[in-house]
Amino acid sequence: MGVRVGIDTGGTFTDLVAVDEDSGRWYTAKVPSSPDAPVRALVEALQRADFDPEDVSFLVVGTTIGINAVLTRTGARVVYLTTRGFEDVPHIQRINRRNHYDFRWRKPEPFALRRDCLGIDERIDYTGRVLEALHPEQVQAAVDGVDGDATVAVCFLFSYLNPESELAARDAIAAADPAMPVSLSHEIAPIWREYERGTATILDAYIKPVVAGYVAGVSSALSDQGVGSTWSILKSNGGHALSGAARERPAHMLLSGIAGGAIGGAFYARQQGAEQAIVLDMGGTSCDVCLIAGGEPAFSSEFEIEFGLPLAVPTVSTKTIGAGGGSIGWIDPGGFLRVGPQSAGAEPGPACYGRGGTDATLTDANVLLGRLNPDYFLGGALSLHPEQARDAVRRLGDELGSDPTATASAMLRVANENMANAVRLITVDEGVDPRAFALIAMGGAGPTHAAEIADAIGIERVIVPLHPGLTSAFGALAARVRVDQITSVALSSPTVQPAELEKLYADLQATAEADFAAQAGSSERPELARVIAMRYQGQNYEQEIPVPDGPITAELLERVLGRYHDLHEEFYGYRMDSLPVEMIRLIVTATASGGERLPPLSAAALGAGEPRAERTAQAYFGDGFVDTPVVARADLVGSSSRPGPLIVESMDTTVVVPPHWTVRGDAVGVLELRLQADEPTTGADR
Amino acid sequence: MATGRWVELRPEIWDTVVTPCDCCGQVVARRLWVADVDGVQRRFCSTRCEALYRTYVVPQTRAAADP
Amino acid sequence: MTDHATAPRARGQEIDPVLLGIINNSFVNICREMGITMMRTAFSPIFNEGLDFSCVLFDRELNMIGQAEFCPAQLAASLFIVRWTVEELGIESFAPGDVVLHNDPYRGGAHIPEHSVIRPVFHDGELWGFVANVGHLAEIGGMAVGSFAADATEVFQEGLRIPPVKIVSHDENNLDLWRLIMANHRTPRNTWGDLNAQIGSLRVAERRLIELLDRYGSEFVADAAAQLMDYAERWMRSEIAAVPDGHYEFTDWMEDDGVQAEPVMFHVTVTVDGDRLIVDWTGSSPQVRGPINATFGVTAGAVYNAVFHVTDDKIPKNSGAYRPIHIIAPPGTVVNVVYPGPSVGGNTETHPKLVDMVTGALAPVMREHVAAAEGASACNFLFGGIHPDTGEYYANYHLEGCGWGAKDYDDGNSAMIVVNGNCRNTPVEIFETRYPLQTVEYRLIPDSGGPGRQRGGLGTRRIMRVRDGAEVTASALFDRTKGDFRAWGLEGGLPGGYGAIKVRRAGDTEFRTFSEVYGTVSPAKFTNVILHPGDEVMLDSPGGGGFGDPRERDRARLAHDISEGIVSDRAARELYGWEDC
Repeated sequence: MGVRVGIDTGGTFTDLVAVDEDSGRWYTAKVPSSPDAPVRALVEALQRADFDPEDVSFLVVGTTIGINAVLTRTGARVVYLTTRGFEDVPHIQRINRRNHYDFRWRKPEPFALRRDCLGIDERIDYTGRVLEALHPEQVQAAVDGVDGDATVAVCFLFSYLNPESELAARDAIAAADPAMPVSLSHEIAPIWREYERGTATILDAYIKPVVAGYVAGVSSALSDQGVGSTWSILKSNGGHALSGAARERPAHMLLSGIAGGAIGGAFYARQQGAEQAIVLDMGGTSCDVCLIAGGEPAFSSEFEIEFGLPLAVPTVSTKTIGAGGGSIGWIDPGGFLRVGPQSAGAEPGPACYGRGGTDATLTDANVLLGRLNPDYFLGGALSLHPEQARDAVRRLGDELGSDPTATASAMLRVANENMANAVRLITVDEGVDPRAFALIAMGGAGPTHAAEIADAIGIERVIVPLHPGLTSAFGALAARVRVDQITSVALSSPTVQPAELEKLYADLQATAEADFAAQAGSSERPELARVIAMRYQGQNYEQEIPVPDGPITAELLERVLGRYHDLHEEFYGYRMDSLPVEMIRLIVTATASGGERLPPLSAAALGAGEPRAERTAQAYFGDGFVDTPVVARADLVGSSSRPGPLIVESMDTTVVVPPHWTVRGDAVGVLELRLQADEPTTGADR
Repeated sequence: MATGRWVELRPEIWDTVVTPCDCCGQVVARRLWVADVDGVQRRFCSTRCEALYRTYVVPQTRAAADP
Repeated sequence: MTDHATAPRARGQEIDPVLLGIINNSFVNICREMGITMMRTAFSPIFNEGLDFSCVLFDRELNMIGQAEFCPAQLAASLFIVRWTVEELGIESFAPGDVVLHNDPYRGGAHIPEHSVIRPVFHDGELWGFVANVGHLAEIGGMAVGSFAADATEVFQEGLRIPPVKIVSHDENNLDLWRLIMANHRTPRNTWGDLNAQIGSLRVAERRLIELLDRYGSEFVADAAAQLMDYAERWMRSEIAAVPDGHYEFTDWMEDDGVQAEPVMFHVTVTVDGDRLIVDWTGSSPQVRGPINATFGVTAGAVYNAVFHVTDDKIPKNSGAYRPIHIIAPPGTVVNVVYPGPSVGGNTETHPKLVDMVTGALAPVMREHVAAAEGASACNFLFGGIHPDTGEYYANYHLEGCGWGAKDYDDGNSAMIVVNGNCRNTPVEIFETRYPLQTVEYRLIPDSGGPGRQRGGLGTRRIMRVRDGAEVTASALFDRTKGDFRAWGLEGGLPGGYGAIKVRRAGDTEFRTFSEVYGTVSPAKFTNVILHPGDEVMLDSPGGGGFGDPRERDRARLAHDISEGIVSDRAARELYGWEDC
């Protein structure tokens, strides 16, 4: 027992949430990030939090260090070794365009130069049989004379079926230069599709040195602070792993910084009994949307760094939309109002910041409509200039031919509708109907917009977590050790043998358990879950079907197939029971067992703030300004239901409860907004 | 400038040859717009094509014949 | 285009632009949801991996009010097909739950593999509009496996032709019709899956459209649609009006039609007349015997595709945006095939050339918006047979990416799908798992990008070997393999590299053309050649044209191209005037 700490180092702020497991006391801290010296902000956050570093028993960090190296193209020189004849695969890519009608788009540059993509004689066929064994002397010649800062990525055809060539290549490289970092495709992303697998492997090699440097820096800093050198990193799949293990496969922690929000959102969804939910994490420049199904974030292996640059490793499935508080309203050449994706950012920021910004942003619109209190933005930390917001919006309105109020209201509607459309697309992509879901509103701007976005989608329930601005750090704290072991297979329902599947799963399970032990650093037994990704023979997209525990028998297989047909019918409206069903991927997930491991949440420490006298503001809803009570979030702890319109203020966000919605706070101050069943939605406000 | 009339096509079930518009070349499913252009009966898919014929095709043809 | 399609409808009051924008987004989103559903459930790789389909929304007056363009080739075809279908069958014949199927190239279609399904949408008992989608079925019978007969001379050889027929009535499958189709396709199970995916996605779109109508009211949404079309029309007219008036001409060639070893000529006159654009193909070759003829739908689609490339890409793609664009394509020519002429290659090989010709014609007055010619061949390679592992019939439609043309401001991308589609390539590991051919190499071709101040994109080379125990029936439809038919450059830019399809029979030492080995009339357009174990096929895709004088190329960028092996030392010396090597 001791203090458990979650830290999220984002681009702008480094956040910390911690809890003392003995006393149940919670701690938070928020400090500016230090991109030039990433470890510094982390240390500052630790120092700012009011606990003794020596008491820290467990510490998880979510970090953008990997993705930053990728986005700024400051990773290592990568030598890419592949089957001879296929050296150009990273440069040829998948040949499709990002958009139609666009001569200007440039294909993404891979992270290895063409002259560093080298062919080796070896060949394995589609059954995993070796047609030609690897020539180790060619591997040695290829890496011979490569400078000391380079790393090697190895991706041979069909290595996901037979890793022999890749393992032999690693031995050959080690013989030539034991210190040379090597990434093997069958370990990083054991899936078919050589471009996707190879790209994940190149990315892994590309960020390996920078991640290793970061891990060493944090370990040393933590030791200096008295925390000790055992700590963990949040991975892209929302699980955490010991820093030493995570460093070995950096591609798996590339999206560490995004996963925390989804995990934190999922935690609150479970807490509030909302097994199906959509996390809406809206900050200053963008909005991350993530689906929660069965209390867990949706996962995907189809994340793209940019169009055409996939990262085929298990990742919390998050879509980012260019809509945040700083998003700028503008008029397109056809005369339509648009909002974003351009953003005023933190500097100069929205016009109302008074730092020289002149573009009208969503924050300006919210100020003008009386929804944001200029004297209590970020709890009064930043004093806003409503007259500058009005000027900016007026200029936009002049172009549009409408007054500032109507323009501001229009900006909100356009932005909310964009986000609603994004939610609809991700849910239809997953084959689910969003209307039965709850919306988890996070980030500084999420709670301000959530109810109206929910209206546009047809969602009737919005949950606002405690400290919506710290949910990523909270997610790092709430995360568990998690290993996803995946393999591509080519099996089909009429011919597959239960014993064959049993064997494949046993192998996967053994690897998953070994990885789990390395990443957890303990002998604790994980919970194991098995999944098969299936589709009708000929289809190209799969659905993942859970495989119940127990030995795999013909009867059990029959049940799994039955579930597949049912789901296909549910999602797409038809089924084809007599068609062969292909099994494409087997997945074993090992997670730390047990339920939530955190002490009860506490309102006082998690930012409900101080009670304040209720006042009345003029806020705009639909067709005019109305008297709107403004209350402090602390006053809603354990409250009964109150009707909208209502505005709830706290240190780090403002919750807008529109007319026809109600709000109540639970015992610790988590807010729940509900649409009143008998009233029309705001969609009818034409 | 529409001076013509709509003519309904009634193709037999075995008919394979379809009627194209004299201006754009597009085939016509059911209705032809028949109009007199410089003394010749022309078949169009729409009054829009009659207008295009008068304002573009006729002057072009004339220009080609009389360089 | 009949008049009731374009006549101004009775209007309600002007709708505020914010709500209009929201409704426009909803139209596009409905089409996207339809597309995602289809992609996830379809069976043919050309569908689910190649995304060779489009989704559209029509109002009661048969205006297209929304589309999610997954495949630009179908831009115009979807417009004409829905209109034709409703006019031929009569609008009164549509009942809730009906689905009409149609693939007839002479009834507004693009080419015969493209199948449209159309479903009426009723609201409060009244017909409100239609949801529809068009998709490329991989195998529809005919003389060639994969239904891409490069030496077909009649439509009957190209596959099963289906006029507008109700494949579903009142949500019940018309099984007699399904049986007829199943009996005429080589891989009927795929057809079953693909058509079900298409029809299933219509239901998704119908549901969402009805939600929209419930929320805003059907008359209100119809008014909004009409105003959105006016808006798109105004915007398109303003873009056209910004181009100097005049007649701009362009001529281009295809090397042969697959049946006769003669070049085929295409000619276009683009007239900018105030705020209207007239694209007149008069002067193009008479219809040819081989299947590179374009249907009117293909030619019109190519024109719209070109115009959308050189105008603002945010103009809503509805019928309004099409109104200022007039197309003239004389019947019986290569740009408007008449019954029973073949047209299967018109959609893949002719469409991209027509796009390049329209932008090429406009190059003198829109130089900052245009590009040199792209490789412009889908490099169609069709094959099939009995799979040695399973004993089952398989068929595959394979494509390659070509080089893009260079622009005044940048190089062209390498290895990109032709401009009329947006397909992905099939990963080698998926390919070899499914088909009995082993890939020997897949690489970029150095020097295949047209030299220029800005360089054209590179083509690719793929070599595949037939596996032991397999016999493969192959057909192909390539272009730009010889003579002066390479992708042209602009302003002194040189042409891109040649395409090629060649064979090395087991035991031979060299690759040779199919004409040399099998005596086909065309070296790159042929049908049903039998390949045996150990035979190798080489597919080269053409590179894109260059822009500007290569000797003016920035030396640092040239040095990078040389060190990356994209430009050879020799080409650098001889074509770029490089003196440092």
